[in-house]
Amino acid sequence: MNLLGTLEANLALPRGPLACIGWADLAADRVPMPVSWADAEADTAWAAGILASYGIGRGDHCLFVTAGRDYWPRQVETAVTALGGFIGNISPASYEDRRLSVYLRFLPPKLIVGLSEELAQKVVSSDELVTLLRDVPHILAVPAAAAILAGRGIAAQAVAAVGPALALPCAEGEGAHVDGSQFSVAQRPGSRALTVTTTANREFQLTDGEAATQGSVLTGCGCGRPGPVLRLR
Amino acid sequence: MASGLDQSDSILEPAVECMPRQELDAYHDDKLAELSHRSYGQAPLITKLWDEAGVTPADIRGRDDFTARVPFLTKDAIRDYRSATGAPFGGLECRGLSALDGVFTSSGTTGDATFFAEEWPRGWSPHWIGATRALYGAGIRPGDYILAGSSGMRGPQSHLAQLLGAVPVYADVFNDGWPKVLEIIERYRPAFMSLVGITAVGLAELSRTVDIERAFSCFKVIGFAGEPLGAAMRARFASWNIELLTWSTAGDVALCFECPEHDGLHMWEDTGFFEILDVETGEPVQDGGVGELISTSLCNTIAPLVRYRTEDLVRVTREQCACGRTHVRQWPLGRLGDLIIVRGVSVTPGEVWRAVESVPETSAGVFQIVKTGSRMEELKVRVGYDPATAPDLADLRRRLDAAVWAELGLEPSLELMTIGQLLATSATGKIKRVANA
Repeated sequence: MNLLGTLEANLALPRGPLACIGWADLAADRVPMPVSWADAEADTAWAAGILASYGIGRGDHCLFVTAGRDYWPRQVETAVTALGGFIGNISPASYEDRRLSVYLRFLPPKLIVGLSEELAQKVVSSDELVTLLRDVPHILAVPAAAAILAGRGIAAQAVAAVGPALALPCAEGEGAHVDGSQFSVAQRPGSRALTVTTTANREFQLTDGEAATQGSVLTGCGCGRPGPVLRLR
Repeated sequence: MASGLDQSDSILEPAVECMPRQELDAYHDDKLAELSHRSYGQAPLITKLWDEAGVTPADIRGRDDFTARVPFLTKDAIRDYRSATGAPFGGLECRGLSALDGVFTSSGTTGDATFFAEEWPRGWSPHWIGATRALYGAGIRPGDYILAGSSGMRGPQSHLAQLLGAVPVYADVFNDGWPKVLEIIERYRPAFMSLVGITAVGLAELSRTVDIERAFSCFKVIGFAGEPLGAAMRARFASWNIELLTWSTAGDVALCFECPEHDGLHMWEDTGFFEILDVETGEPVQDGGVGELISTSLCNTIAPLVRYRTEDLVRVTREQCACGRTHVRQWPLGRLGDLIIVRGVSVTPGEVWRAVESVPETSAGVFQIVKTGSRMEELKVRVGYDPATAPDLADLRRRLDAAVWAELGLEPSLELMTIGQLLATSATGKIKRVANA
């Protein structure tokens, strides 16, 4: 009698093919993005490969800044725990500066993922938080936040969903990787518009869909990983 | 113990959820003795407090020893230990960081947030595992859609749906806003979602332009958490034919939910040991009485709370619920710090709430008591009114004044503002019912 028994009861329940329904932010609209258990497993395995470059392992704290509507944070959170690390979580709102401060002071993360624009604006107005953030080994922020943080000398790489795909920087390079086994990404000639095509048998299919996130496609990354590499705006 | 899963009825684990009191007592005797050995000598703050009290694990053979001898733990003690030593879990940690899967935080409304440490069996958060009993009891079944955040301050809410074989549809009322969420509801016809005070107020505003009863007819039940629900708001949901399931924290060791009987929130006693003590005397409160909830976590393998003074004022009963479950039920009444004395009269937010929601223009129950001390000469209350009702403010003030007088026998000092203005003062997305001046 304990929660292990409850878990056993839960896992005995029938389960359909869908792990969740997230959203793909396209230039024209946000569209529903069903994710199968197989998709989620592939996404987690790929993200774990990228996170391994940061040396995430047992006992490492990764702090997530997430809005509840996004799928990709679960993809990366699950990768962290698969590597043996542990996660914390705060919301993107500017009022989370207090909670961020508590985490930074008492449980310093090795990696922050998804630092938002609202929170970055609040952070840079606080000398204490700026000092604490400079001590975080790796920060992945949404593109607008990365630019704000750079203004106070805080190094951060840009991370973002690009339509249904996640663009996640590795520790070695300066671009953000997309899982080439699942997606291809192209840049519209003469613009920063990015188009995404699903290349695997995913639950959600898209062909040349223009993503809400903009950027440019790079020729590769120094790390040598396969798949599209993007510079996000 | 093997699960007593029985999908044909409404109880996920009948053998556990309906366990006779005698068996629960025996379980607590074993677990409290075991916890004593696991915490003392490992958790620095627990060891320090027990040493000061002259208690050793060998002294604790069961409930009687535990309640008679084990010293209390307070949030201030945890914070102080953390500040003094840098120990992230305030000296409650029994194991190192390598055992962790997730760390989440308290709301932080009374100071620096404190951490809750979790180890996830087979990758699932125990915070949400415990909550599946309630949702199963409310009729959520495999294949249902559930509106949920993917992850948040208290971990991956998506686990709650996925554990039940349901499909989480990621949505965030707070950030997306109701119009977007209504589109999602229309598309997926979900069976469950959860609201807090602010989002519920937003729904009330939406009801002027949207047929809420039709839009929400797909829900088997809707959760409501974060604060006690006012009678007027509950009635409003009933008028939309929406069944609300209120839920809360069970002394920070687990979540507790109403069952469909709506007769108190079930606190799972296999996850925690709960005491209710008289606020003045510290003596155990009889069944049905009101007191402070003291909690001890029995399932936390990393940093368990041991005789933790929650400062939650609750009424409880250990009588079997009509649903058949035997675990203790609580009715949250507020926070100890919310009790104030105005000219010798004790005032709780609930009493002010009843007065505020009795007036049509302020029936959303958006208000805030302004506290200048534990004993005050004046009851100052900020009240949010619905601007769409275009009230005569002088008349509204008179009627509110009369309502507060009728409820408390006190003449209030009222500060009127629109609901939006008052909600905008919230820094955490939660209406702070008692705010310091």
